[in-house]
Amino acid sequence: MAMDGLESYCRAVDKLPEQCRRVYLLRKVHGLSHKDIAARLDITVRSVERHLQKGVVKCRAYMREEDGVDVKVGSQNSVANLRKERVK
Amino acid sequence: MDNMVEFPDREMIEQEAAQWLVRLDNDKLLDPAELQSFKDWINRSPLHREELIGLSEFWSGQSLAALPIRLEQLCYETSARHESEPERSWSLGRWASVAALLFVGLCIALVSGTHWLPGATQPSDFSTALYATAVGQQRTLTLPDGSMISLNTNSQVKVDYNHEYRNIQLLQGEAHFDVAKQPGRPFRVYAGRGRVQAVGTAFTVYFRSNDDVDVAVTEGTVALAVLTESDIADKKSLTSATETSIPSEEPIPKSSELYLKFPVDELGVLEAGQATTILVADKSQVEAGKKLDGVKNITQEELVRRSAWRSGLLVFSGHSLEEVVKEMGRYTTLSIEIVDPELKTVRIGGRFSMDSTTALFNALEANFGLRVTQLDYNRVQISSGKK
Repeated sequence: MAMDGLESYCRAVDKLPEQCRRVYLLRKVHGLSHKDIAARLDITVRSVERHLQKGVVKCRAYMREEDGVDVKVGSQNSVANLRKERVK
Repeated sequence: MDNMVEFPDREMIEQEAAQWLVRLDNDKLLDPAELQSFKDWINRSPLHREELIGLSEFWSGQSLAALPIRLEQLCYETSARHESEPERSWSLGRWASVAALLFVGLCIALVSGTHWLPGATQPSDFSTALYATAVGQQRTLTLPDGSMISLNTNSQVKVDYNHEYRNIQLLQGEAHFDVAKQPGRPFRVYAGRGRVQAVGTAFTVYFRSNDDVDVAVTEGTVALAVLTESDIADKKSLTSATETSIPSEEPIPKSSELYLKFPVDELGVLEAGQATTILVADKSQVEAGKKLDGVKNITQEELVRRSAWRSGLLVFSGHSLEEVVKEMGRYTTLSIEIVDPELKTVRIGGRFSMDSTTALFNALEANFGLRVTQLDYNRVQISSGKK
């Protein structure tokens, strides 16, 4: 199931405009800093950040729409759940 | 009622949330002005917070990090940008299957409830994420090194780990840290200009809305420090700084440069059973050298009271109604008003569940002779019951 998540994530990233996709992957796959990405692609830090903003919104929207994949990673504990965990 | 405007609104909030997310994910710390406008934005509406939390959980998912994409493939000559046909040779879809094996690690991590990939399965030591709680919400996170963070209501942390250090930025609110011992890899919590450093210990940091930083230690010792740079976002002054926080450390990797090069003013150590406040709200006091509000030894009882939030309780013992209302304000979006000024000093004691403000209001009415009136869905008044 998690594998479907990655495939769908890949399809989502594939749909991004080329430069946006490149910036997104340099950040998420390689963990380069915004400054590094800007230097490597010869664009400004501001446009790096704009590409990332656009990328995260579009990818999530794509995954929600096309696959109905639950895009939440990690869980949130309400106070009640937290308490239950402590009790056990 | 106003369903018609919800859609465009939601989209705008999503855009703004994405903007903040990307800004927070940058290596550069927020400067005081940015921090203020971030706080303003996040407090403007629960929707803002919700959107940022949702988006950051999506963003923090590390699955893409498992893709075997070479750096050069992404940085080939920029002229390729102008080709009308986008380069397909590196289509991600194909790589997904290659990544399948690598991905098993992630599946296990997800199943076991871990929020992150273990560092070893990532191609780089890069590991950064943002976690937040809404008003009234709490959550506990386990970090890759086994350290635990419990976030109290209305709190946000940015986690920044690499093989040399474990840095946490407490952007807002309160958190308790249970630190896994790793000699040589310091665990540091930054809250505004305050810094708390630990190696294998447990402590709580509360970043007050006026920028002061409360610290209470439950186990082991921590070292306190203040970042002395008046403008902590000023890069120039950072690069010229000669003092690093850990003198023994090797040349610093680029993403950590900013953190480690902050000139710091060591304030001394705090031991188990002690608490203090790092005073950074008042600049003149900082400059006059008064940076700590006296180290207090706190009783076991007080320590238990201070950490009651971790078990979902609010505990008061002889606190004024004014203090109680202020504390409650951290856990609810209700605005609570004390009508009669003389009521502010009424002493309140007891243990209350955070789940229900109603229970607390009932207790105030039943045991302390107060009257609680709900004015509308968002406003409550406390007045004297004897009338």
